[in-house]
Amino acid sequence: MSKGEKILHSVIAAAKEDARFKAIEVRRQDSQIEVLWAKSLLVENQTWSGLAVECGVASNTERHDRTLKRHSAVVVGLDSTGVAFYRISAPAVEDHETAAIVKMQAESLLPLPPDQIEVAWRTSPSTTGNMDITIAAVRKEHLHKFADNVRDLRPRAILLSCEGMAKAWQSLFADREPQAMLVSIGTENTQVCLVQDGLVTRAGVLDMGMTSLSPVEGSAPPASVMDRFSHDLWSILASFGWDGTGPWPLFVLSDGGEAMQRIIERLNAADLPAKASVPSARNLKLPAGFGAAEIYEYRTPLGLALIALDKSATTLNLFDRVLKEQEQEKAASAWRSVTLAGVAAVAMLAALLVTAYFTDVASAKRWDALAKQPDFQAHVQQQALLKTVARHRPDILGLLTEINAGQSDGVALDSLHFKKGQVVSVVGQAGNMEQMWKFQANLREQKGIKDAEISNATPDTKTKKIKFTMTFQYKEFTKKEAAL
Amino acid sequence: MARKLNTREKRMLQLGVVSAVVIFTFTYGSRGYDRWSEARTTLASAKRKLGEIETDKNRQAALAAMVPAIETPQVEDKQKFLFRDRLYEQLKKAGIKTEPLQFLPVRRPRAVSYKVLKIKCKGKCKFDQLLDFLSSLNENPYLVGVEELRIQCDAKEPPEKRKDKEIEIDLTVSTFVK
Repeated sequence: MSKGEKILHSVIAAAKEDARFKAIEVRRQDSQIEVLWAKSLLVENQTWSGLAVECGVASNTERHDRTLKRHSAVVVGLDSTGVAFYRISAPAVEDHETAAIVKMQAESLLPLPPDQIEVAWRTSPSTTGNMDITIAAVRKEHLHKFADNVRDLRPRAILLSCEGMAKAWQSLFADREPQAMLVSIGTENTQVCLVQDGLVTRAGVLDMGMTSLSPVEGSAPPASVMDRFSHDLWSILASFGWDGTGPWPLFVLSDGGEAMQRIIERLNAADLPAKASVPSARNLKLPAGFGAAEIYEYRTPLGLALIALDKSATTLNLFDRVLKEQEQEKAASAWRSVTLAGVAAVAMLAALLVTAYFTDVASAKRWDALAKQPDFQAHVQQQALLKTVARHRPDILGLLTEINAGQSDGVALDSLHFKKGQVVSVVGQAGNMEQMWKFQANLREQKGIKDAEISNATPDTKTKKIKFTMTFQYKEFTKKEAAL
Repeated sequence: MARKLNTREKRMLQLGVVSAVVIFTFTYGSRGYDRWSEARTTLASAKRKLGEIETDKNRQAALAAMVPAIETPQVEDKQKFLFRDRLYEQLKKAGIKTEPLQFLPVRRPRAVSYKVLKIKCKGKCKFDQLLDFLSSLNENPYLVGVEELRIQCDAKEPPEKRKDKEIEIDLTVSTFVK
């Protein structure tokens, strides 16, 4: 286990076998393993994404159900059908030298160019002083496709299903041996593995399963099918170096059912000394209704979960490089998008600047030519003069009109004095104070007149009238700066 | 025979392209920027000049009402006689009896770009005649405005008898000269 990796206490393991997606969540408590739940979906109705939703790992976009709880880490099993196993012997050397040997050997063994193949390997000590190397090889394209398919599960690791099966046998089945041939008969095919110390060293797949071997419930396997099965099994065992007399026992994983028992009997009859190995879950805490049959059914995801919980460094890991490549590809793609957006933005900015430049230059030329036309300049000067004159020309008739509008009965004006920059003053006489005040009030109501004040009011003893002087502001013309 | 470039060569090529773009930008970009700044200054100046023209119809009408006629100011020697003659004509037409018109010294106020020449006149007339004169005064194309006006009635006369009596006026009007 590398330094950065966390120790898992619970894990969801998923695999596809027997035409079903199977998933199970397992938790480690002290030394006991507890199965929390198990789920199984028919392949024909579902996808890996559907399984991810069912397991609560991904949200369901169709149902707009985006709430996602925290979940355990996920490991997924890759069906061993497309995986080729090789076993070679090499001198016991350093790891990097071993890697070079494996690379060289793999290139000579594999039927495809090395860049199309992904290889994982592990060593085990040999009795001859050399070391045995187990090589698992698979097409890269197949791995990428699988990694894409299970993306919604966000797996922490993708392991080989046959390794899960071997681990399950070693941990959860009876008749455990350090070295054995395992036969796991599925619905459509049969997985055969040579297991040494819980690790798969050779593996192969027969394209016959329970559908062929036990087509009718309760009946014996058809003789011709059984003969072919025995023959194929012999061949594959022989390719593993098994001659039938060796020290390796041959176990057929079984749910303890009669169909499996009949197959084993027929294998024995064909000189294959097979024995049934049934689940024996001593340290396993199971949910209600989960028994030996269920352990058998979920043996692969169970084994994958146990591998993940143990975090064994000896696991054949075909996906590390694939997942890294996918991450790199994702990062490169993101970087490419950012770069593209940046380039587009710079291009747009440049286009904008160029457009603005040419627009400004053309406009400047046109407007400047217009502004320099003699007619235009004369017109501008004339209008400027007009505005200046208008600004300095008081409307004297308007002033007289406003004073006249402010007149009240009994008030007569003797004189008026208007001078730019000074207050306007009027001198007059009124019959009484009220008439004078009324006149003042009337003036104050005029639009152009402000601050009408009586600066002097004295009674005339001869005429019995009030003589007064009134001052006021007229528009802007009585301000100091208005004087020319 | 053509071969594919390796990563190092591609990187060198990219660096070369970027350098070329940067050199081009700095060389021609600064010149272009100077020309652009110049164009923008010219444009702003031309726009400012054009903006001085009053285009609002209402404001144009108001200006025309206040200043129905205006002539471009001439040099002092020419302008003062043009203005005086036209003013005298208007006074005469209104029937205002005046003392000789008096030119005041030319001043150069800070608020305007022209010099200002003022003419002062004293006279006697009826109030209606003054109103006639004032209503026609704006038609003087040399007039800037009335700078001062003093109207004086005979205060000893009772108000009800003043109607047909003459009033004294002191008037100062201005014109612009170059």
